[in-house]
Amino acid sequence: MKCEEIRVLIPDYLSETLDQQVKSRIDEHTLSCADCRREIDALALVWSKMEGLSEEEPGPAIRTRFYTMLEAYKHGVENAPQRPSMFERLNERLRVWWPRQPVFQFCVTAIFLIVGLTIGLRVNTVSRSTGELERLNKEMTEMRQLVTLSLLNQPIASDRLRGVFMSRDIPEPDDRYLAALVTTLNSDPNVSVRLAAVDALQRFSDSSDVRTDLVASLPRQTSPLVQISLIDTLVRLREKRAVDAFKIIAENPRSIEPVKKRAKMGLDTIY
Amino acid sequence: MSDDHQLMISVRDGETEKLGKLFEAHHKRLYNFFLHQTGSRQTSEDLVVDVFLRILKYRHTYKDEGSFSAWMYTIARHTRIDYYKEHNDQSEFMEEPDTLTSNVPDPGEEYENMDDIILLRKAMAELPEDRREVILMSRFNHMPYREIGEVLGCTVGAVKVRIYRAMKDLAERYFRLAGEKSYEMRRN
Repeated sequence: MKCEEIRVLIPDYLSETLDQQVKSRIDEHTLSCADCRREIDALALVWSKMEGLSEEEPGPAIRTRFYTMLEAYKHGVENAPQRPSMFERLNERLRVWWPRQPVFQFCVTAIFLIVGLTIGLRVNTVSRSTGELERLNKEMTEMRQLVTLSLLNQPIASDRLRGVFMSRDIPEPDDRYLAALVTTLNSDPNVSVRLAAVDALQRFSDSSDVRTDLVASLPRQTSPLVQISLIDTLVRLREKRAVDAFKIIAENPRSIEPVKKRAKMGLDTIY
Repeated sequence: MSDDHQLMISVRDGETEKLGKLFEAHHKRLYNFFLHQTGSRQTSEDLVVDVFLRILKYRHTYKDEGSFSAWMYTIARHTRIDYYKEHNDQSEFMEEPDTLTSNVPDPGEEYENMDDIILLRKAMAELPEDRREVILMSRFNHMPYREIGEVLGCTVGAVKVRIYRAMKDLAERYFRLAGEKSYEMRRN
């Protein structure tokens, strides 16, 4: 065996996982090769000293934190729709645009009708102003917002969740729509819907008003999952106005430990 | 197939409460994996909880033919990398390596051993990240080469070479700190 081959086998040699034949060949080699013998001796010394490095027990809080997280996940996120197959996702995506209630179905049909008419007019009319198309686009956005606002007020949580998810398709929502999302964040009884509202509002965080609403919402939240999501969002936004809210949570004896910790980490990051 | 693998398949298929058994089986080793890398108990606990949260979050990506240990340590690596990215400077989390514990029963009577262990911890802390983690996975977590290869994305042969180089690097740093001659010096 060559020295290079021997040296790569040293860890196995020291952990005694080599078969006897290979081990004997290494022993034979080291009788005549002083370099390899020195190398094995030196690594063996360090190898044996590594036994002295103990495995430390983590603190008892880690178990509490894990089970709190697991419970929160089970009750919160798992109530949200499970990850569907590609076909179901496509189906779901299309279904979002086809509401159950006849009045919304009518609205959607009207949107398509307007779009169809617009395209038809543009094809048949040589000189139509682009301003008209913009107006129609605006009308479509308003119509989407109307449908979404109505969904946010539905009694079934999955409908409200759909309403929040539809915000992805509204690039420039108006104040009324943002206010409805904030109301959902502050008062929706379902944790999954409130969590989705945090994500939705985060997309519009360029607006100072939205950031103000996110800060104001934090002390109102009682679900640890929503609190953590909000804290993470405000930290990502480097929102200094959240400092007081973080302090309140960090010092509140009723806050659970993972949330307190997150708030303290948030304070460290923002300062 | 291992029990861990079967448990993870159950977790993936919706029985999330079974993650508790995987946590009980692995959290201590995972905690020490992070502790040797960060030197911070608090950070290590955070990272362990974060790993299990990610396991829940990405459970649908666990494959039928997978190895739970390799998958978990792959997630653990990414969790640590993300954590450092988020906090920019990893040095701010490092505690003095000699504040960590050792297996020496009575430090008062075992000064020499304690010194050795402190030196070894310092040498470990000095190692480049990729070398330290390969030692942790092989020497401390006793992971098979195949699983380490899965985590690092390399062959078993490459894993063996990496472990040897990491051990050699560790030994050189240790002897330098101990004031002894390095390999090269010893040879002359």
